[in-house]
Amino acid sequence: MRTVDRLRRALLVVALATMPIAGCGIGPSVVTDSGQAPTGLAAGTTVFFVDGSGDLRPSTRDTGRLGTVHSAVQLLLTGPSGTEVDAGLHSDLPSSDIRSGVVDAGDRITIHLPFTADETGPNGVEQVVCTILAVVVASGRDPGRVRVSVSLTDAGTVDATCPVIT
Amino acid sequence: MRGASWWPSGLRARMVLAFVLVATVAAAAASGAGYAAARSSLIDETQQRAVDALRNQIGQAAPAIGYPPERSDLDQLRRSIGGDALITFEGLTSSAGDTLGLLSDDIRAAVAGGDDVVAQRVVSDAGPKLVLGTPIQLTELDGSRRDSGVRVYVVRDLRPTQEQLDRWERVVMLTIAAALPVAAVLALVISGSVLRPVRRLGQSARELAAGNLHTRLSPRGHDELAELATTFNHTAETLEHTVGELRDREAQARRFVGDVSHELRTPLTVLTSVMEMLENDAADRSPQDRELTTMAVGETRRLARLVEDLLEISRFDAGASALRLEEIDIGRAVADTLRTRGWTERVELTVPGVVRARVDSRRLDVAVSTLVANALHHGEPPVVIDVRADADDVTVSVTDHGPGLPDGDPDQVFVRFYKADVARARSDGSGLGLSIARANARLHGGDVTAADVQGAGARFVLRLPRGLKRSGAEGVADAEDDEAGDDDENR
Repeated sequence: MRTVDRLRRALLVVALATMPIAGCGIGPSVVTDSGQAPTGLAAGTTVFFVDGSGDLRPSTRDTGRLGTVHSAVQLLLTGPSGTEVDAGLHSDLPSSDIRSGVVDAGDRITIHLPFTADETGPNGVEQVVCTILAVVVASGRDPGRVRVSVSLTDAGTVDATCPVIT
Repeated sequence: MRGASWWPSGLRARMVLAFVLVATVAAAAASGAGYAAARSSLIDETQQRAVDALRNQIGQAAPAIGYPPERSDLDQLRRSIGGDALITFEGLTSSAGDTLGLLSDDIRAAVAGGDDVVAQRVVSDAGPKLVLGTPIQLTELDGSRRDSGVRVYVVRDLRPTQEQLDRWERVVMLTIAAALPVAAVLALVISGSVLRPVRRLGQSARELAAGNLHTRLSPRGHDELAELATTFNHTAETLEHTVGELRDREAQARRFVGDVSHELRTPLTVLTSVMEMLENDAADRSPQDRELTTMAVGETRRLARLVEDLLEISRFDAGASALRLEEIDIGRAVADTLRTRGWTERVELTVPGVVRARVDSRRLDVAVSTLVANALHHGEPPVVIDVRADADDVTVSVTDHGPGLPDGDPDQVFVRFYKADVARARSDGSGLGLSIARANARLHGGDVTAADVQGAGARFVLRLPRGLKRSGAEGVADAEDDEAGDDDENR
């Protein structure tokens, strides 16, 4: 009798010792925050033109969606619309149907423009860079962490910045 | 610990149980802590991966989704995200999957009121699930954000994670289970190495107690047990030394008694002869002179006997007494003893017949005569001698009808120079007789015992082993008769 009793108590001790492990799978939890919400929706695409005093001005095209860096650059290259011209805006970039090439590698975006340096006006490259960064910002990426390189047909690839979006 | 009934009493069992308990608790604690940490980090990581994946999927898909969205836009976004998902925008809803019932009001409220991705684990019949919810935000050019009104909820299955945890849990249990036998074996080995010196110590202590004073331990190492062994050795050494010294002194003292007795014997013999001559010459002296002469002769003889007894005792003490065994008839030997002492008339002798035994007849004579003399001197008549025998022993019991033994331990009468009564100190005996009688009996492997008998006085029983090989029916018959006789007497 005593031996049985002893054995049972010893087993109880062992069971108590191992109990913390048993039965802990995945339990329910309360609602917890897990970081910033995603973004990327937009009613339109923002492109940059130059006003009469030579400053960059954003203009939102009613595309219904944010679109990609590439589509934004294509919109920019089609030149200002009638309402934009009426608002005193112009583009320092020549109007072109030739598609530009964009490589979006996350932290580095490279754009190949089908122009020479002479063809782009004083603000042309900045127009392109600002338009690209506008998409970057709207899609939730940090513009400070994205480097934009511009490649013209007669010059090598150079890093460029936008004065209004950093 | 003492008093707990389940705690075993053996030192070894206690050590093994303690070891196993400690090992189990340690293994359980270590494995449990490791498991708990790994489990929570696995869950956190799984959750974070799901959140990141959702954020990426939405971030990838959103720029192509029209805003404000129509039903088709929501469907497109939902397909991009994949799995069980619910997307709402104002009155519009796009959903897929049958686990969306797990969405709690808490998570809906958290998504509606905040600008973060929120997560909640829920457990359903289908296993653990991870529910994620998030609003999609609009980001202005200056980086400021506002709510778009689009809400995304997804339910992700955590069953793979659960299975992973189950596998870990099995490993943990196996580890603990495997630790038990290992701990038990280790405990057995270690307890053996700890208990072996203890057992050896106990054995040596027993040997020491049994008189083997040369017992020593060989201490190994420098632990407490080695210290104990060293102490034991020291104790044994001191004891051996002291006992040896005491033995030496005792032997010296006994030798001295023997030497003194021996030296006294020769002059006493001469003195006795001279005294006897004087006694013979005293016939024509005055009665007063005769009386003095007689007294002097008596005392001289007594002195001579005392010296003889002392010599005998010192021979016993020195272990120099030798037995000269011969097969004799005990009854006849006792009768001879009575006859030569002139006691035949004063003593009743009962002999069952021929009782043969291998004894030293001189020592038998000494012992019997001492017992009878003692009975005649200290007891009252009738003095009865009863010779009995069984298969192994022969007994000669001497019973008187006197006042019996003095109060106290019956054995005290065997102490050397014991005086029952101070007033009767000057008896004929040397005071060594009973002691010598007992020593003689013990030399045979027998004994002399004393006791009072109901209805009589003191009874001294001399028991001697017969020293015969058991053969023949006569001895057996004797034995049976004797036993019956003893029984009667005891009643």
